[in-house]
Amino acid sequence: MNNQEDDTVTIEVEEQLENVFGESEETRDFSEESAEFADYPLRNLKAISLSIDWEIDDEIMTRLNDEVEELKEKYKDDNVIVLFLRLLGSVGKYIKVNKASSHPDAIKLLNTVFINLEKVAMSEGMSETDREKILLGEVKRFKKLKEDIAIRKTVGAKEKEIEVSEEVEPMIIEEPQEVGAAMQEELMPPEIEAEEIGPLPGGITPEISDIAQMQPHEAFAYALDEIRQVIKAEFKALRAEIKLWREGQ
Amino acid sequence: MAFVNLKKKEVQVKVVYYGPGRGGKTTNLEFLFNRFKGRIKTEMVAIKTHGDRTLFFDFLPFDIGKIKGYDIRVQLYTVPGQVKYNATRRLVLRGADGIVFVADSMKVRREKNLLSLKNLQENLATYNKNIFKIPLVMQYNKRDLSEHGIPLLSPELLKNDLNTQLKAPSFEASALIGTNVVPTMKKIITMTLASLQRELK
Repeated sequence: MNNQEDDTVTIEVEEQLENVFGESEETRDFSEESAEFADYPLRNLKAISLSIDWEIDDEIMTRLNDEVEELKEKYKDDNVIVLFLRLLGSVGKYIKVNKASSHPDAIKLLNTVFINLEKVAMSEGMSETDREKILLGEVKRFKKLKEDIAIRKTVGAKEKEIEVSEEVEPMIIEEPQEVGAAMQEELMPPEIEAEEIGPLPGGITPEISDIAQMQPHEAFAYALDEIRQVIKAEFKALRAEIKLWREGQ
Repeated sequence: MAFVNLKKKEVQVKVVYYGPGRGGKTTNLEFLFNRFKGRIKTEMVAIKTHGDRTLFFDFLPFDIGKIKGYDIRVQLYTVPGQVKYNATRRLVLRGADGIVFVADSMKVRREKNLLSLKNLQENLATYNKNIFKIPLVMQYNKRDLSEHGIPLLSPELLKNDLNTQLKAPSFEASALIGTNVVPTMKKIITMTLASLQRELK
């Protein structure tokens, strides 16, 4: 095909695409970092919290811990912010230990704690009552997560009794003190009682190079096994949530 | 290779959105579906885990009408970006006619982009496809984060890391708010169909 034919196809395709997807394009120039963020005190913490996802590594979690410690010092006279930071640090430690096997709500909690910390830290003139109210909300979420993790652990233990499995899924966050008391005495940072476990529940993750060597049917079988493992983990989490919901009724 | 039915005069092309986990591949498809569902009149299929991650793939099919007398059906897929799902990723890549590589602009994700692009090259090679020859569009996603003070890789650095040799058309985008999502999709479809036309000749 010559270039002229090529161009004709391109023009036709563009016209058709315009018919289907026209008049809806979002166009925008992305500015460089705005000046107001240059001296933003939570800038690093925000970047770190946005970076944390399922592909969590030691480096980013260490950075989170270091940043939390630095900010604790910076805000040492503001008890509410220090408590927020302690919550972040605790959840961060849990995620660091458990990585991809962390309870999915732990990542969500990390995000909401940060969002509310930002709200409290950056809203000038917010009353102390409002600040404490926001903090309390996060502490409640933290406690709920802790309960969910405990249930997950219990369910896991029961299943393991049946399966006579040798693997352990330790996921415990030590309970924080109530905020009321914490306002007086400080929220104790929950310690982690956990050991690192593999990325797939009960499974072994082969190296990428191993997968590349597989025949298509082997790769397909491996893909199916991946799905089976994840579905198993999903059902396990779901069962734990249903149990928690029933207990709450 | 695309599915071509000469008798019915139908062509079906497969475009795969590839890239590191949490880079915005699914968000691209979600934006397209939410914005155009009234026009494309199809459903998006998404299989996610408990943690809202892509488990197997996302799938968005739609028709774009007739080109050279052929009905063109486009299928957009995403792959699971997490490293551990390589076997699944390779399966989704089978039969791909075009690729959108969704790179994460966040500084902390620089290495993940490189690893994912290398992984794409390796996985394409298993199907005897060459990353330099398959229609490919680069999307530098999450550019909007610069406005929130998040350290980002500059477009120049991203280009240097990922696109110096490939020289693929590229877009700075924000899949979350939709910036350059449609142009990315239009570009890859245009390139893919032009490439298909050349192959069929």
